[in-house]
Amino acid sequence: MPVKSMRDALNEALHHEFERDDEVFAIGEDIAGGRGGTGEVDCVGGIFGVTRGLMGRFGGDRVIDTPISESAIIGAAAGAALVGMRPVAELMFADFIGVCMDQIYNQVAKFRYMFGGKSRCPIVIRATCGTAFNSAAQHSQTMYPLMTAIPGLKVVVPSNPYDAKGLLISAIRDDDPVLFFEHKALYRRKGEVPDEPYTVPFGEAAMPREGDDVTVVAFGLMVGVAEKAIDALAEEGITCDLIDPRTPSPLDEETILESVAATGRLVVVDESPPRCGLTADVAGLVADRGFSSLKAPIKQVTAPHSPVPFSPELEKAYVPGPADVIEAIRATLQ
Amino acid sequence: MSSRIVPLAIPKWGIEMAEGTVNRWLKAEGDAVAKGEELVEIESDKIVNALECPADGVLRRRIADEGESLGVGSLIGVIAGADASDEQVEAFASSYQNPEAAAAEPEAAPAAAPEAQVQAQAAAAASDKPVRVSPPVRRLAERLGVDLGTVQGSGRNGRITQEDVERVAAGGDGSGDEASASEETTAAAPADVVVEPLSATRRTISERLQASKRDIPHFYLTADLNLDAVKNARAQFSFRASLNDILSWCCVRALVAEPGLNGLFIDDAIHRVGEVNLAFAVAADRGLMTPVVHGAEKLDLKALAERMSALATRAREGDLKREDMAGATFTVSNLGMFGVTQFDAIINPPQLGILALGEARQAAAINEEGNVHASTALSATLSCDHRVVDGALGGQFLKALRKEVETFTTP
Amino acid sequence: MTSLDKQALLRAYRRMRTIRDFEDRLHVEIAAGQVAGFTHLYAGQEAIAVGVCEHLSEKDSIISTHRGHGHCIAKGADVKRMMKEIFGSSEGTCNGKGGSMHIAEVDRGILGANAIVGGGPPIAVGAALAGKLRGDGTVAVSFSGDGSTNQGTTFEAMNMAKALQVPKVFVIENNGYAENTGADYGSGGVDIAARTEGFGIPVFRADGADFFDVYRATGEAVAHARGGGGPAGVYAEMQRYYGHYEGDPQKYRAPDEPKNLRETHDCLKNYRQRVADDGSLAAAELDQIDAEVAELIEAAVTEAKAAPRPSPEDVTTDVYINYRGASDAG
Repeated sequence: MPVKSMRDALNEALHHEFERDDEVFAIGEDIAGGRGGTGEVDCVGGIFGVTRGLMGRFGGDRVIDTPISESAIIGAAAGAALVGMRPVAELMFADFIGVCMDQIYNQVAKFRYMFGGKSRCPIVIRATCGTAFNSAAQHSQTMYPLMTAIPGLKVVVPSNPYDAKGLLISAIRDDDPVLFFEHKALYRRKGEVPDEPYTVPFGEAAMPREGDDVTVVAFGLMVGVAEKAIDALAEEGITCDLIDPRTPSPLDEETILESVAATGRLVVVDESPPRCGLTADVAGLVADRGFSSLKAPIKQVTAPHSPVPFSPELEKAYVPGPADVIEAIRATLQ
Repeated sequence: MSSRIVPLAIPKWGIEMAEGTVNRWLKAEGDAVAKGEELVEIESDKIVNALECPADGVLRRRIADEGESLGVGSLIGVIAGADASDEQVEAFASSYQNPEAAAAEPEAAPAAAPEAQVQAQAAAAASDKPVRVSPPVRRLAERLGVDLGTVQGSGRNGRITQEDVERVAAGGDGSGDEASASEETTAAAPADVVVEPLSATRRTISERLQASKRDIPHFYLTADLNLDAVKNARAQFSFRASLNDILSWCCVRALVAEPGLNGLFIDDAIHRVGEVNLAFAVAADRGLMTPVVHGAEKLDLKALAERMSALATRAREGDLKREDMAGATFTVSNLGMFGVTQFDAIINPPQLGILALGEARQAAAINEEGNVHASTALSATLSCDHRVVDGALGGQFLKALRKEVETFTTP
Repeated sequence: MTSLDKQALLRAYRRMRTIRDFEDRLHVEIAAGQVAGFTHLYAGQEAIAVGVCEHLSEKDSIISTHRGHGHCIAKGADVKRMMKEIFGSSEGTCNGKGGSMHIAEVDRGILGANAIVGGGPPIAVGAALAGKLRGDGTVAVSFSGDGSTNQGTTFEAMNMAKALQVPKVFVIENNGYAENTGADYGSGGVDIAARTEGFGIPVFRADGADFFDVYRATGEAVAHARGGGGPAGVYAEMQRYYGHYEGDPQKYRAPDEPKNLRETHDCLKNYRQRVADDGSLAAAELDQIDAEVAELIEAAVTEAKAAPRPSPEDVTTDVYINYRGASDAG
């Protein structure tokens, strides 16, 4: 199978869906780039290159560069979706959700329910998220836990190129609003990705490691971190189920509960701060519905309860690493 | 222009550029160059661009050749004033450190794994549970049209893994042998494997014992155990239990009474374990095997004897599973059947100690009234890891063991 | 320039030269991999920052953008501490927590560089409102690029400033590009200053490469705001010499555009010409400033590279509460 970066896998997904359905269009800042400048047009393809080549192939009407106006970008995409098109809006950094929160939270998320189930809003909002490259407090946040808390949104956090492509195609074909979070440290990560279009369903976790002693649930970038931790412990004979939910909303509760029922031990890992986040959410689920199988306290591995710092030393200390996960797994075994 | 020596390095264009290729030098060594002038074409995975000269001076060295790919920050040339000596330039180039490489975060090194297996205590005993199929496996089977009833799981307790399903879908026979043979060689190689002097198992044993003797400061405590009570009681048994079974059972009781030796020493921490998982040495064709009785403190003597007998049989037949040998918290070794009177055993890390039992022998004993009489005794030698176990603790354990043995009654 | 005495003239030149050297040097250091994170350089636009800030006292407030080094230096920030911040040292203006995009010295009226486009103008309305409520005669200035003027927050801030009649100056620097997209494309070709005027805010236009012109225009705007006339605007055009961020391949610009800019639009050359023509300053005085600034920047970089680094425990200082986190798994 061909090996591709996550950036290329996402780019391929967009090309497939643009080809398949001419109601699909992309809108965002610099997704082509260079309009109104003195040099080349279509020279950027998104600041991380995910939309590269789309304008050249599908034209400027379907690959729409916008002013820096996040509320209007999401609002415009939402309106087009409400009348039946399938926009893929890009927020250059997930942190800018702050600028357009109303459009997402009070508008997009509410239409279908608020209108008595008589409307659809097939919008995809792609956003680059996560802590990497010393991007500092306003360009480094994960944001997906906040979005997961909102009824009316589906939330996708791929951890590898294969899932990224299949999940993005599913997102574009989905009739409901989907927030699609791409971790900036994963764009270069490579993996096997088929050339053909395919979908990865929402609400179905992947289990990249299967084991017996501890259940580890990890999101996004932390899936790879957890893999390193689990592989190191396997050399000692400690084996773990690693669950990558892939879509924090809808969450595959069944896979988590089944695994904990078998292992009796749970570690939840996310790069976001600890309060009201995904680790607390999964821990709550298991405490509520899997308590009788627990043999040890649930452990959460998260970033600290602070904004993301700039300095390389501080950023490194902020993001959980394999050693943190190993420590938590061991703690459940004591 | 001062003689400030300025590095020319692979630039970082774009947020993620990690590496650049030197496409073409636009200036020759010795050329006078001005700040802002284009010096060299660099190609990243996104673009080709010219690198501008960072300072006025002379291009004194071209370190990277055309076509060479180097990480961001790597030195490719040196700019300096004409007044800087060649030696200065050379010294600068040879001592240059790539700041990107220094800043690149090394992946947090996972905690070093101890050599011994540490197994979750609870995972092993559950052989009567139904075969496990996780939802991702079930969905995969549905998608691939695989009937799970036809798949023999290769995971622990017969668990069906995603690989098992994929193998069946790809036309495998469902037995799991293809996939599992290699990984089970250390625990349960087929009986027809010829035992070579350095089989994988033997190599493991060899490495672990060597590491143990090298890393663990052993000390040894020996006590004589009077077996009269055991002999008397054993005459009235309604079930089969060897002397070794009885002594093992006494050892378990002693570990319950003095739990200081029941545990593991890992990463500078003592791991106290709530149950006694007693390993015992079995001489098998393939070498020394140490099957484990998990939760031994919950077993009565009869159950312990049966369990040890079953495990010993499987050990000799090469039929032990990985979990049968994992998770031990203490080991008993007995060489009495070979006429050995006393010996010192090597600790199986990360356990804290091991008990070595010699041959039961006739001995003179003096009773409470001071009368000498014929008796049966046995030497027991406890090996302790002195890093975490002191002499007093070892002595207390032996005292407890002696009490269990010498006051033994028919259960 | 009647209102600029010699000391002010020298200071203005020194600050413009400091910004230029600061940014030119960072360009080199960043290309050599010495600086982490995203850095957006202000070189070329120095006349605007300094022309505006020469009208402000330490008590007046400014709020800057992601391209904030120039504004901070013009407002009197500690250059060495700024450099240390950009290099990530614990001795930086923000103890290494902020970096280039978040430099702030609130004591000096620098309410922060700001990495959210359009984040600043509403905050400056608040600082101006405080000035009005306290009656202390202070003004607040927000710097916005052309890109920022397309954010709803900027429009809302303009309207609110007008509605509340606060002493606020909207400085709009049209540098031709919102990241990688032309300014005219982003505004639909509509004159950005005219849009501000549409809110009933008087806008004073200036040549962004001419310190004296920016100084003049800002003088009128600040006088309007301080005098109780409500918000005012300053509009200047001047392209940046460098890319949107350091590392930007700049394919959206004509190949020679940045190079030509340095030839045709250089506020430092213009300044030297002007003071030579009217005889207000001697070339030697300016040369000496150049030498002193070069020394300052060299020292700032040397010190920044040698400065102490933050320790991992600093991640959880300056927070309101520490939860026993997960990394503490034991």
